[in-house]
Amino acid sequence: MSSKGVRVTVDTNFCQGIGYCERICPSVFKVDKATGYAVVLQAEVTDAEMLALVDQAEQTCPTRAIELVPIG
Amino acid sequence: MADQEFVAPPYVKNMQRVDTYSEIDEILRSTAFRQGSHQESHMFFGESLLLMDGPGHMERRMLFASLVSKSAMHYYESQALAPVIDKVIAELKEKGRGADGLVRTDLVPLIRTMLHRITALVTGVDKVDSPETTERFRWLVDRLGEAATVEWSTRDHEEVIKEGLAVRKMLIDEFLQPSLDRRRELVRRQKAGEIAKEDLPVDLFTLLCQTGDDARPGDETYIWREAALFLVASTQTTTHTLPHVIVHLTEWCKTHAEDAPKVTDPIFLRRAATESLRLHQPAPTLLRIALEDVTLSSGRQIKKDERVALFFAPANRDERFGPDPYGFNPYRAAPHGAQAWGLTFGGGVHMCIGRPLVTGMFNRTDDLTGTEGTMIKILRVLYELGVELDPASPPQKMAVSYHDAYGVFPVILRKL
Repeated sequence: MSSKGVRVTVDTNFCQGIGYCERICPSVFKVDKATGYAVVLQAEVTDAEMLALVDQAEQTCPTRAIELVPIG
Repeated sequence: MADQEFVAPPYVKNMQRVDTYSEIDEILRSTAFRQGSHQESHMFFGESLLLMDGPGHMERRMLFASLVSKSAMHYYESQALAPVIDKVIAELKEKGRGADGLVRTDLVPLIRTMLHRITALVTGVDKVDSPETTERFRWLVDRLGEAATVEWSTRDHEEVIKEGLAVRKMLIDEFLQPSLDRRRELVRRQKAGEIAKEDLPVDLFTLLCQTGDDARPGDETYIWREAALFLVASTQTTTHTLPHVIVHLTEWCKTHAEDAPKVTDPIFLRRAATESLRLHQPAPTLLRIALEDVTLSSGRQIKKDERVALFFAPANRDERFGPDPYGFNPYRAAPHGAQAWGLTFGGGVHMCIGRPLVTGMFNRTDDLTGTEGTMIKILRVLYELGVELDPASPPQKMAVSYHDAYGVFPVILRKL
């Protein structure tokens, strides 16, 4: 992972709104009850502690819908 | 038409059959259902990630995340799978040629040999590195796999389970216990400060030793059930589906000669593998149990505690997949909100954790920045070696189960 952080996106073709991401990292992910998909509340994450959490969310997501693209 | 494609196994004949895409998708995503598969084979997979529900499931999935991370996938593919494929092909070459100078082999055990060495690495099983030990390991895991999916066996189920328990004991004694003991010692040394955490292997047994889950009081077999899941589940999808890809591509190229040169192109192979995954599922059905009375959006009613059978074969031939959904078309586009492989890897919290290992990690069909996955990587090597069906010996479907898979798949490797 880039030391400058990551850009966070959710691929709605994969997302099923399970919500593990929201439970692991609620300041970055929230499941939109209307659409059934997770939305990203914070598009770029640079804080080290937060990076660990979004990384955990990306790996734990059962549908692997979260994409983390290194910044810079 | 769906019934012509798929015969329901006797095990599910008294269950309510759900076979539309939208209904299955709704059930898999719903929190009003729990896992209902593997009740008869519970002694092999019980309490493992596959059968867990509720808060414990997310915790377990988080624990296993490092085994399926992008970096782990890159490692398995470049450092493990590629050398294993080379080694297995070299071993095959050493076995010699037929009188006509061609190399012939049965693809089913060949693929299993490749995958079992990878699976051993992910699970943390040592000494699966020579033809002899791999063959022994493969035999044991194949027998265990038959027992762990006894629901779909055409043989006497009690007998299959009895054999499976005996085989599991042999697998533990010969492979699993010595490997686990080694990791316990490594973790002990790491906790004592004798070795760095980074020097520990990244595998299932090491993870369970680190969390103390390697020895649950009063449940000595837990770790063997989780290991059985990893060993069996991580090989079945590729071994069952890959031969189907070769059959479909053989037929496709007869009428689409312009695609014949593309069989070593990873993008084309990914499309072909994905389309084959849509048409052929690794398990005959998935089962779910309703936690409450449920009325689906379609109006279908399912009573509390009722177990329903989800039939993916007809669901994956839904009209949302475009014209001629029963046919094979590697250029088929994924419908919005669905994957091109349909529901083959399940859905919801129990979506197959090993999916990225099989399909590779990518964001688009033409994305080559991720990983190829076991299926595409093995297919590419086979086509580079000139794989083709052996006209003298046609493939045969599995005789001992209702799985949509080949038991014997003779091929010629014309360029080896």
